[in-house]
Amino acid sequence: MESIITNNVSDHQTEQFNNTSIINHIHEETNKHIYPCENNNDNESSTKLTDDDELIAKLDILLIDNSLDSNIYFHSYQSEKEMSSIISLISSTLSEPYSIYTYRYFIHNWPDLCILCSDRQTNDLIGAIVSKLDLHKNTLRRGYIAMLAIKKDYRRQKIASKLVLRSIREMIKRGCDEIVLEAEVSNDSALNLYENLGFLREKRLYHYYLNGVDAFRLKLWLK
Amino acid sequence: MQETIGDTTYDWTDATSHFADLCRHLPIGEVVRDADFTLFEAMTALELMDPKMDGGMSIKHHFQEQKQGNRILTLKQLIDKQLLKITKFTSSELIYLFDQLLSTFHMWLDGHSLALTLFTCVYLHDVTIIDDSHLRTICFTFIKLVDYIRERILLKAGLFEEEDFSGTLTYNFPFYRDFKEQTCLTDLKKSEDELNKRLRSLKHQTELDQVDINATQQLIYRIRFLRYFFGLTVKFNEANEKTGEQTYLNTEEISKYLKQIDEMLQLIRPSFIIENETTPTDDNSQLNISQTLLTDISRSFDPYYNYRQLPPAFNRFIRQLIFPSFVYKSLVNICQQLRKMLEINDKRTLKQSFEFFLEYSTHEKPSLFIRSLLLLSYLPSVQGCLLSSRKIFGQISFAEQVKCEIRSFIVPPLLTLKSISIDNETLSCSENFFQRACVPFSNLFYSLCNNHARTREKLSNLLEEFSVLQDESEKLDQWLHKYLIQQIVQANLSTANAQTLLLIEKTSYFFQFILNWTLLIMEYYLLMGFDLSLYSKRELYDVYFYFAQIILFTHINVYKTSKNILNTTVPFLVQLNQKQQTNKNQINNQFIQQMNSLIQHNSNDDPLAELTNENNATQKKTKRKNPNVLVATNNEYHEQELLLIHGHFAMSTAMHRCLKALDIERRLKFSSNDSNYFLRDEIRYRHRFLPFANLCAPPYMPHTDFLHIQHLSDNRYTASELYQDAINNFSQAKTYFETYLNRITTSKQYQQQTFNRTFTTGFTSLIDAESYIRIAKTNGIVLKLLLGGHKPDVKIDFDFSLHAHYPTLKL
Repeated sequence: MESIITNNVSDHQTEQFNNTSIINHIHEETNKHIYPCENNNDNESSTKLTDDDELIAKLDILLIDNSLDSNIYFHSYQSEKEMSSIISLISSTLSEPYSIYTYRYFIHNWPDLCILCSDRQTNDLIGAIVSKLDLHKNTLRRGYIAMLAIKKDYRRQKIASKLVLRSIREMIKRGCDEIVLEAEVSNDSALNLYENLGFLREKRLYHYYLNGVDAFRLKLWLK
Repeated sequence: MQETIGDTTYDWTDATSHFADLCRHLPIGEVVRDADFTLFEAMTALELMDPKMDGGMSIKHHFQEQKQGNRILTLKQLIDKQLLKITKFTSSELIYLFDQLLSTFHMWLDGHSLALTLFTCVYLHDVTIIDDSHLRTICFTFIKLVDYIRERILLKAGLFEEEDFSGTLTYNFPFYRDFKEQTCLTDLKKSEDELNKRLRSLKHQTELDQVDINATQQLIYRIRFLRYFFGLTVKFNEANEKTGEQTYLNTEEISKYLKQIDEMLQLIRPSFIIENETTPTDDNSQLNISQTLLTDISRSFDPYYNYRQLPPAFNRFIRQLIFPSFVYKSLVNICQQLRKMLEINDKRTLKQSFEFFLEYSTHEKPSLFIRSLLLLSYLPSVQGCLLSSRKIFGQISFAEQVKCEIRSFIVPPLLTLKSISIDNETLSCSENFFQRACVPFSNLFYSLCNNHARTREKLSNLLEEFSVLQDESEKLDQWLHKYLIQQIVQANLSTANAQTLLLIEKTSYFFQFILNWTLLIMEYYLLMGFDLSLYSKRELYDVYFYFAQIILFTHINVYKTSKNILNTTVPFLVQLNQKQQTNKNQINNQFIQQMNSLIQHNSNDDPLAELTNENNATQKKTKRKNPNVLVATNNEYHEQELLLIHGHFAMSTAMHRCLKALDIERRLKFSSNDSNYFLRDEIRYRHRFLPFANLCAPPYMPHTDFLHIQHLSDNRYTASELYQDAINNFSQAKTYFETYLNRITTSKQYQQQTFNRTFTTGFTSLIDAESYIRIAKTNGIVLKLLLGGHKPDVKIDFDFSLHAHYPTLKL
C-alpha cells in the first residue's frame, strides 16, 4: 500500500467546466443534465428508519475497536485554526490543487462531515476526511466524499477506514440515500478501501483527471 | 505603475498595504458567502501567487528564463526587432517548422486546446505577413485543416465530450474563412513544383550540397503528404461546392488518397534536432537537423504565446511537444484505421453495421477524430438534420432499413406477401411504428461512436427507448394478427397448411424483432461492465446469473422462434407469392413496392430470395456475392448466432455454478458476510440491474424472485454436484465456441480472403471466441482438481487477464 489513499474532488471541476463558456453561474441543484442516468426507485425502502438504526448500531460497534494507539483520537472540525493544517495535509497528498475556497466550501458548510484524526501527544494532524451531504436532483440525499488523506507515517493502520466509517455514520444519521466519490483507476489502495466497505464502481469516467487518467465513480447505495 | 502586456498598457495601483490594514480587523475564520457562490465557484477560484494554480506564476518563471522582460512579443514585434525571419527559409528550417506544426496538430487531434498547440506557432497568428510562399502555404493549410476538421467533422458529428476534447474553442484566432480549401491544394502543388525545380538545379551544381539536396527532397515529400492528407480530410462529409449539399462517402477516392499518403509516410524521415553537427550517427531513419541551422527561427514557437487567453481553469500545463518520429508513426496508424473504417461501406444491414461498430471500437480503439469520421460516413450530416432523419450512407432512411431488417429476420407476412393490398389504417399504423423505430436505432449507432465509458451510459438510456418500442411493436402485432389472417384466408389457398397458418397467427413478428435488439443491447451493456472493470468480485454471481438465466435464455428462444418461422413459413410465403402473381411484376403490397430496390440490392440477406431464385438460374448467377454473409442457406438461419449465444449461456451458467460451489466450500477470497460490508445484497442487485427494470421483455426479475430461483437451482445442490455441472457447462461452452470457429474458418469466404481475427458476430469476435475456449478449458481442469479434493484449504481467486468477460480460476 505504498500509494497514497486519495480521491479527488475534481468531479465538479471537470463536469461543470463543460458549461463554463456559456453559463457562469450554475446552481448545484440544477445539475440535472450532468448526471444523466440515475434513477431512484424507492418502492422497496419502507423500512427506512429501522434500517438506518441498524446500520448506525453496526457502525458504532465497528468503531469501538481499540487496536489503535491510544494517543490517536478522532474529532470533528472545530474552527478555522485547524484549516491551515488540514490544507497542508491534504495538498501534500493530493495531486490536484484546490483553492482555499474549496476547503471552506466543504468545511464551513458541513463542519460535522469534516472528521479529523490527531495525535494526542504531538498534537499533529494525522488524517482528515472532507465530505458533504446535499440534495441531488431535488430528491436524493447524496453524500459526497471529497478528500481523504492520511499522513505517510500513519498509514496501514486502518485510520482511513475509520475516518470513512465515521463520515458514513454521520451521513446516515442525516438520512443519506447514497454516498459517492471518485478515485483514480490505478489507485488500488483507495479502491480496496472503499470496495471493502461496499462501495461499487458505478461508472468509469474517461480522462477524468488533469493528467488524463480515468477515474471510477464509486457509490455506496444505502437505500 | 505602468505595464505593457501585448498591445495593452495597464495602469496599476498598489493596494497591498490598504488591503492588509483592512484584514487586520477581521476575526479568524470570518467569511461571507453569497448563496450564488457554489462549489463550482469555489473550485474555479484561483489563489493568486500559488504556483500550482496561478498561471501567472509559471509565465513569470518563463519570462525570467527568457530574460525578455514581463511581456510576450507579438509576431509583428518579433519581426520588427528582427528576432524572427519571414523570408528566405532554408529547406531544413521549413522541415523543422513543418514537423513542429504537425506535432502540434497531432496534439490538438488528441484533445488539447488550440491555444496550447497549433497557435503556439507565432506565424499562424498572421499568415499573410509571411513572405516565403512555401511557409505561407504550409501555415494556411494547417489552419484550414484544423478549421475543416473542427467545423465539418467534429462539430457535425457532435460526439466530443469535455473529457475527449478541448480543442473546439477558437479564441478569435484567424481562420481565413474566405480562403478556399481548393486554393490550399493548388498552392501546395505549386510549392511542390517550385521545390522540384530547386532540387533539380541543386543536383546540377558543380559542388553538390548533399545536405541541401536531402533536405529539399524531404521537404517535397512533406508538402506532398500534407496535400494528400488535406485532400483526404476534405473528402469526408464534403459539401457540394455549388449547392452546398452533402456529398457522400467516396471510398474509392479515399482509398486512393490513403495509398498515396502511405507512400509518402514511407519516404519521410522524421526530423531530429541535434546539438551540433559533429556527432555522427548511423541512424538513417531520422533526418538530423543541427540546432545551429535553426537560430533564425528559434522564436517561431512560443508555448506561452496565448497563455493569458486561456480560461481561468487549472488545466494550464504546458505540454511538451512529442517527437516527430512518434507523430509520423501514429499517422501511419491513423491511415490503417481509416482504411479499416472504409469497410463500413460494405455493411448493408443494421446487424452487420452494428457488429462492425462494436468490432471497430473494441479492436481499433479509435480516437475522437476517427469515431467522428465513422459516424459521418455511416450517417452523413446534412445541414440541420436530426440524427433520426439522417439517412444511412445518405441513401436509406432508418424506417426503410428497419423494414428490410425485420423482413430478413423473421419474414412477417406484412413485409413479404406481394399480393396483399394494405388498407390505409393498417398502412399508417405500421408506418407509424417504423418511423418511431428510427429514433432508437439511429441513437444506437450514435451511442456506439462515443468513448467506451459514455457508450455504456448511453446504452442504459437507450433501453428505455427500446422498452417503449416494445410496447408499440406489441400493439402493431395485435392489429396485424386479425388483419393478415383475414387477408390470407381471403386469398383462399387450397395449399394453406392449417399448422402454418396457426403459426403465422400466433407469432408476434415485430415484437420478436425488437426483443432481439433489446437483448443485444442488454448483453453488450452487461459485458461492457466487464470491459470497463466495473464489477466487484462479490457481484459476479448476480451478473453471471442474470446474464445466463434471464438475458441469454430469452435470446436463445428468440433465435429459435425466428428460425422456426423462417423454416416453416418461407416456403409457404414463396408459394403464396408465386401463386398470386398472375402478372409477375404486379405488387400490391406498398411496403414491398417501397423496399423493392433495397431487397434486390441485398438479395443475399433475403430469406425469400433463395427460393424464388431457384427457378431463375440466370438471376442467380448475376447475384452479387456479399462477403459478409458467410452461410445463409436454408435450415441454417441464425446458426452462428445460436452457437455463440449457447456458448455464452453455458459459460456464464458454469461461472455462477462454480461461484456458488466455491461459496459453499468457503473458498472465495471475499466473504459475503464481511462485517465491514455495508451494501445489502438486495440493494446492490436492484441498482445494478436498474436499466432492465422497465423493460416488458425480458421481464425484470426482482431480487426476491432471484433468491427464489437461485434456491430452486443452485442452492439445491451440493458443492460437488455444482462443480460437476460447471465442468459440463465449461466443456459445452468450449464445444460451441469451437464449432463456431470451425464454421467461420472453413467457410469459403474465410479461405478466399484471409479473414481478420476481429470478425464479429453479435457482440463476439473471433479473438473473443478463441480466448473463451482457453478459459473454458483451463477452468474445466481447475474444477476437476477441486472436485477431486485438491488443496481443500486454498482459496480461489479470479483472473481476468485472458479476457475481461470471463475469469480463469486461480488455484
